[in-house]
Amino acid sequence: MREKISILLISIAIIGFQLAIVNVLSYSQWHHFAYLAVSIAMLGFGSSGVIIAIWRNFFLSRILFVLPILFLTTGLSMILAPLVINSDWLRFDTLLLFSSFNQLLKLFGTSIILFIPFVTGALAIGLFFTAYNHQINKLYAYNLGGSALGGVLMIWLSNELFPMHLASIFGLAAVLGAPLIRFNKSTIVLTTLTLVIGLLTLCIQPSIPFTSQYKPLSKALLIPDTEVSKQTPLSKGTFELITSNSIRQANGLSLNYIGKVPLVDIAFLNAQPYFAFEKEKSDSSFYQSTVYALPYLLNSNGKTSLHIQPSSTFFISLANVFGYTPNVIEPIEFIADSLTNYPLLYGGVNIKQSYPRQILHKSSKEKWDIISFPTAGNTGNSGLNALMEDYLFTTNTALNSFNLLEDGGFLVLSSVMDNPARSNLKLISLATETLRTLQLEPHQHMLSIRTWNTLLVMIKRSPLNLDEISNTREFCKTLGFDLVHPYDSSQHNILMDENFQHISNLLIADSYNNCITNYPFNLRAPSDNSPFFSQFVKLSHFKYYINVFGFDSFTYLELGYFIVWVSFIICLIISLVAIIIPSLVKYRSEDKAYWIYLYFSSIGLAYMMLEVVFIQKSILTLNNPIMASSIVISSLLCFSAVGSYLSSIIKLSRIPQILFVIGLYIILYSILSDNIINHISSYDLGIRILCVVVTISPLAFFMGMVFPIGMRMITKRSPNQIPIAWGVNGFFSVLAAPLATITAVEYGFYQVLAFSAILYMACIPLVYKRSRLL
Amino acid sequence: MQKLCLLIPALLICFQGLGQEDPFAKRRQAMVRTQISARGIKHKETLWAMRKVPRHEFVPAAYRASAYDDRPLPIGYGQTISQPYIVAYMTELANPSPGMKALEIGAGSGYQAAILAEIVDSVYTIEIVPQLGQSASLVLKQLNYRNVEVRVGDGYHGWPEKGPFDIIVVTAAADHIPPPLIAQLKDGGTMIIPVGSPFQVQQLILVKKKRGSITTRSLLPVRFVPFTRSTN
Repeated sequence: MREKISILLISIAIIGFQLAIVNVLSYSQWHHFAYLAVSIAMLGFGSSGVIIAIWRNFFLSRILFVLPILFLTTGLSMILAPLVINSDWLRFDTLLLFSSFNQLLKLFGTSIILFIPFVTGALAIGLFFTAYNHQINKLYAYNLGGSALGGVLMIWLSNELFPMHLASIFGLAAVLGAPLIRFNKSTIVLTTLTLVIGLLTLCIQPSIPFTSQYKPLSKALLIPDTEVSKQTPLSKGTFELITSNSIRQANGLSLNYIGKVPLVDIAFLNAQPYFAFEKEKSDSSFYQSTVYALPYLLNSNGKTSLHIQPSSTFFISLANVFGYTPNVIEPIEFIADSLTNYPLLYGGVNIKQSYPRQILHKSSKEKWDIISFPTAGNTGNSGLNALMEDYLFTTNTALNSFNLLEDGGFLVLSSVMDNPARSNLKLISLATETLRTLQLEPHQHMLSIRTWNTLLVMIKRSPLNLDEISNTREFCKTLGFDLVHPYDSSQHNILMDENFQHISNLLIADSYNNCITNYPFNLRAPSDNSPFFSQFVKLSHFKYYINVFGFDSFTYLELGYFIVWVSFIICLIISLVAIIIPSLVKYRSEDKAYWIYLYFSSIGLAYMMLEVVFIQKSILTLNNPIMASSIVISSLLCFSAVGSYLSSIIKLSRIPQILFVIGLYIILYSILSDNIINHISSYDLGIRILCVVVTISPLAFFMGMVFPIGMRMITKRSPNQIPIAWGVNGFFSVLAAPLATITAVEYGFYQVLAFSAILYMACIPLVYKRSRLL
Repeated sequence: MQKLCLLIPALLICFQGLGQEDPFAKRRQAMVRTQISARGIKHKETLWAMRKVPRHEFVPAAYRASAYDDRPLPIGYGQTISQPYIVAYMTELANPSPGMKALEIGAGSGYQAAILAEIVDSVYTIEIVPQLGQSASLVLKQLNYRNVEVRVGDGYHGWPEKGPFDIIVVTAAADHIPPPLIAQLKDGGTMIIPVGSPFQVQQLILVKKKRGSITTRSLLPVRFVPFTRSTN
C-alpha cells in the first residue's frame, strides 16, 4: 500500500507542478509558453523511459535506494525551481529572444531547471511500473488518480495561492513520498532536511514572478505615481489592480473632442489589462464623442442593454448617459463587486457575476435593446492570443445573442484596427456569417463605422431604415468618423492600404467565400468547433508571409501560433533522436517490437486529445471554463483509474473488443454531443454536471484499461520493453496537447475527435493476433 | 611660460582629435545608403541628419555593435530605439525645416530628438520614465545639442508654455490621441504617431490640422500587398 500512496503523491506533484509553472510563465511571459512547460514535461517522460531501458538492471538492483532519492530530488527541484528561474541569471524575456543570444542561453537554462523534476519524477514512476509490473493495473490506477487529484487541487488552490508558491508546495508532496518507500533513519533525515529547505524557500521567495518588460503591466508600473493596490491569485490568473494619476483611456474617441479624458485605474490579469475603472466623472459630451455612442443614438427609445465583460466603466457610464440602465455580465468577482459599489455612474447598473455563455443561451427569455460585446484585440498583439479559445466571438454566440434582441435592437461588436487588417476584417466576417446563417442580407442589417484605430460593427435585428443610415452619416460627419458599411467616400481617416475597405465590401457581398479563400490571412468566422478568433495564419501562405514581411517581422506578428508549431516540431525531432532511435537500436534483436511503439504512442496521443475535446465540450455545457476543466480532468482520470484497477480481471484476448468499443463510443459522441449540449443548456447546473460526468465516465472506464492490458501483454512477451512503452506513452500523451491545438485550429474539434477514434481503432490490428497467442 | 604650459597640452588634445576617426562613420554612411536612401527616403535634411547623428551613442553598450543594423534595439524599461529606416521615414513625413519648433512625446533614447534637432530650431522632448529621460538628456548634452530640452514627466498634457508646435512626434502608442496635443498643434502642423507592438512592423498615423479640421492618414512603411484584386 505504501508504494501506491507514494506513486499517488508523486503523480499529484508532477501534474500540480506542471500547471503551476504554466501559470508562472503565463504571467511572466505570455500564455503560449504553456507549451514550453508541456514540452519539457514531455521530454522528461520520454527520457525517463530511455534511461530505465538502458540502465534497467542497475536501477532494479538498487530500487529501494534509488526510489527515495528520486522522490527527494523531484521534490527539492520543484521547491527550488520557481526561485531559480526567477533569478537574474536565468530570467529571460520572450521579445528579446530574437535579438540577444544571452537570452536564448537563459531560456535554455530555464528549460534545464524545469526538466529536472519531470525526468526524476517520471523515472520514479517508470521504475515502479518496471519493478512491480505484476500489479501494473493498480499502480497505473494510483498514477491516474494522483494526476486527477493534482489537477483538481491545482484548480482549487489557484484561487488561494500564487503560482510561485503552488509550484513549491506541490514539491512538498513528492518529498513526503520518500519515507513511504523506505522508512529508515537516513531517509527520515533527508526528508526532514528537504522539508525544512522547502518551508524556508516558501518564506523567502516572492509571490509574484518577474514580468517581461514588454508586458503592459511592466510598462504601466514605470509611470511615476503608479502602484499596485491589490494583488490576488485567481484560477484565471494573477489579478492586480493598478492605481495611477497618469493613465487615461478613450478608445474610439473623436479627434474633434477637446474636453477632458478621465483618469483610470486598471485591473490586470496575468499582467495584461483586463478592466479600467474611471477615477473621475467626465462630461457627457465625452461619451457622446466616441464611436460607441452610435447604437444609443439610433435606438433612442430603448432602455435595456446587456454588456458582456465590458472592459471599462466607460461602457456603463455611456449607457447611463443615454438613459439606459445597463446589465453587466462579469465573471471576476472583484470586478463585479467593485461595479456594484462604483460611485461615479450617471445612473443605475445591474451586475451579474457569471460567465457570458450562461446568460447568452437560446432558452433565455429576456430581450435587450442593445447587446454589447467587448472590444476584440483590445489586449494588444493579436498574434500572442492566437491559441486562446474564445467562445464569445463565435457564430454560435452571435446567433444566440441575435435571438435575444428586441425587434429594433442592435448587437454591437468592435475591434481595434490592426495592420495588416485581420481582426477587424474577421469581425465583419463574423457578422456576415451570422446574418447569412439567419438567411438575412448583411447590407440590410449591418452598419459599421471606424476611427483611425477602432472599428464598430452593428447588427440590427430588423432591417435598417433610411433615417438610421442618414443619422449615422450625420454622426460620422460631425465627429470625424468614417462609414464602412454603407460605404461613404468622404473619409476623415484615410488608410493607405485601400484593401481594408475593399475586402470588407467583398465580405458582405456574394464574394464572401471567394474572399475568405483568397485573402492571405484566415478570416473565416470562428465557430464553437474552432473558436480561435485571434488565429489568422494560413499555413498555405507561409512562403507569402516570409516574402512580404520577412521572417523576423512575421514571427513577431503571429508569435503564438508560430511557437506551438515550433514546439511540436522540436518535440517530434527529440522523440526520434532521444527516444525512438535509441530504443530501436537497443532492442533491434527483439522481433517485431514496433507494435509496442505504435500501440503505446497511439493510446497516449488519443487519450490526451480526447481530454482536450471533452474540456471544450464541457465548457459549452457548463459555460464555466474552470469548472469544466476540473470536472473533466477529475472524472476522466478517476474513471480511468477504476478501469485500470479492474483491468486485471479482463482477459488479454478482449483487448480488440475494448478498443472497438472506445472507437465506436467516440463516433457516437461526436454525432450526438451537440444535440445533447443544446438540449440540456437550459437545465440546472447540477443536472448539466451530471450529464457531463455520465457522458465521459463509460469511455474513461474503458480508456483506463488499454494501458495496463497492453503492459500485461509486454510483461508476458518482452518485459524489457516496459520502460520504453512507458516512455513512449508519456511522451506522446504530452505531445497530444500541441497536436490537438493545431488540429483544432486548422480543422476543428470534431476532427480531433475523429483522429482519436482512428487512433484507437488502428490499434486493433496491432494487438488482435498477439492477444490471442498469449 | 605658464601660458605655454597650458597651450601645449591643449594643442596635443586638438591634434589627437584630428587623428581620431569615428569608428562607426562608415557604417552610418552605409546605413543611410542601403537602408534609407535605397528605400526611397529623399528628404535631403533627413538624410543629412541621419548621416551625422552618431546612433551608437544612443544605444546601450551591449548593443553598440548592432547600432546600425536594420532593426530596432532594446534600450531597457520595455522601450526600443526604432529601426533607422522608421526614424528617417517619420522625420521625412514630419517635413521639418529650419525655423520650426518640434515636440516629442517619449524621448526614449533621445535619438529621434537629435535627428530633429539637426534640422529644426528647437526640440522639446518629454519622457515619462525618469531613468530614460535622464540618460537621454545626458547623451544629448554630451553631443552638444543645445537646441533640445528634455523634461521628465507625463507627456499627455504636452508642453503648453512652449507651444504651439509645427511638428509633434508621439513615440508611445496610445488608444487615443490626447486632446491637449491636438490643441498644441499649429494650424497646418503635422503630428506623427506610430502604432504597433515593439519589434513589430509599425504603422504610422499622420495627423494633420487644417483650418481647425483634423484628418488622419495611416501609412505603412513596408510593402504589403495583402490581396490580389484579380482574384475577386
